[in-house]
Amino acid sequence: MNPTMSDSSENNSTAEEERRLRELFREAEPPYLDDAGFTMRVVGRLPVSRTQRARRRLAFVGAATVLGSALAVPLAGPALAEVCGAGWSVVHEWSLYPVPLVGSAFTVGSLAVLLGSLAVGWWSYSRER
Amino acid sequence: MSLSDHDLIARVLADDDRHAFGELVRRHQSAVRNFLRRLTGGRQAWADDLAQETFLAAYRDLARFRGGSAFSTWLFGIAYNIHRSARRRERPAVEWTGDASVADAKPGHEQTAPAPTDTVDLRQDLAGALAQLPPEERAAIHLCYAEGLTHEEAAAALACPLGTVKTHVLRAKEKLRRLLRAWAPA
Repeated sequence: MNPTMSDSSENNSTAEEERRLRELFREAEPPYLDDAGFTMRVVGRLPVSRTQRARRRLAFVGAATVLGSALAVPLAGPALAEVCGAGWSVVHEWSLYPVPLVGSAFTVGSLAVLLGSLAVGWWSYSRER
Repeated sequence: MSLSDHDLIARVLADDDRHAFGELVRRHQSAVRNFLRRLTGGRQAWADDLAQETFLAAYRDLARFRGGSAFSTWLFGIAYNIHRSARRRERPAVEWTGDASVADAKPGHEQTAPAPTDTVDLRQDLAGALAQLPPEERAAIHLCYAEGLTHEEAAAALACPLGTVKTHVLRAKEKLRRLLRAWAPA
């Protein structure tokens, strides 16, 4: 038998088998599976989102700052008054600067710390978004 | 107009858009679940559990998807790895792997399908024949013939060399030809 003809018929046979196999897979294609709540179950198992984590962190920082400040005044008030009273005497005696200026600087500094902590919390939140 | 997979992925990465990710799951859940049912030999509950793990892993590693292949191809790769890890953890006695010796038997001695009647019979016979293949060959032939992936795409999905995929496909075809002889044209 002519080797070329033999190779050709073998190739045709292989191509025919290939075609038939693909046809079998196409005919036996698995049916489309209904979602039936599958997507909902997957989404329900997703980890907490970055945005949610950032919101929680901001809320915590803000609440801690406000609560800490609110507690500090009544708890430390008497002691602060005594210290401040003694302190004001020292300041009056030794301060090179006018007392109102010192008091204003102290107040501004405290507000800066308070606002700074809130700003850090907001910055962290906006980064996560 | 519906968004493409790449647009949905961009939304998930930029805004952690859960609705966008849900849409991706909805689009690809059938193909992934069918692939895993093939790999697990028809164990539907187990396949669906693995499919859930596949999408959760895809969500965690979504930033690693570079877009060089179709998103479905990437998902098949994750599904295959998850199934492989699960198989290693599971006790061998629980899993029905079919009788591989039948698939390797000499021609004329293996179990072949009865006379075909309709599509349901064909599906069952094909599923039964595929279940007798080793998982690697089963995965390769399913990706190339059921999902229409090229050998290169299948090799990328299964994370193995191109030559290995071609060998798996060749061996699988040899066995299927014998096992599905009843479905050959007269």
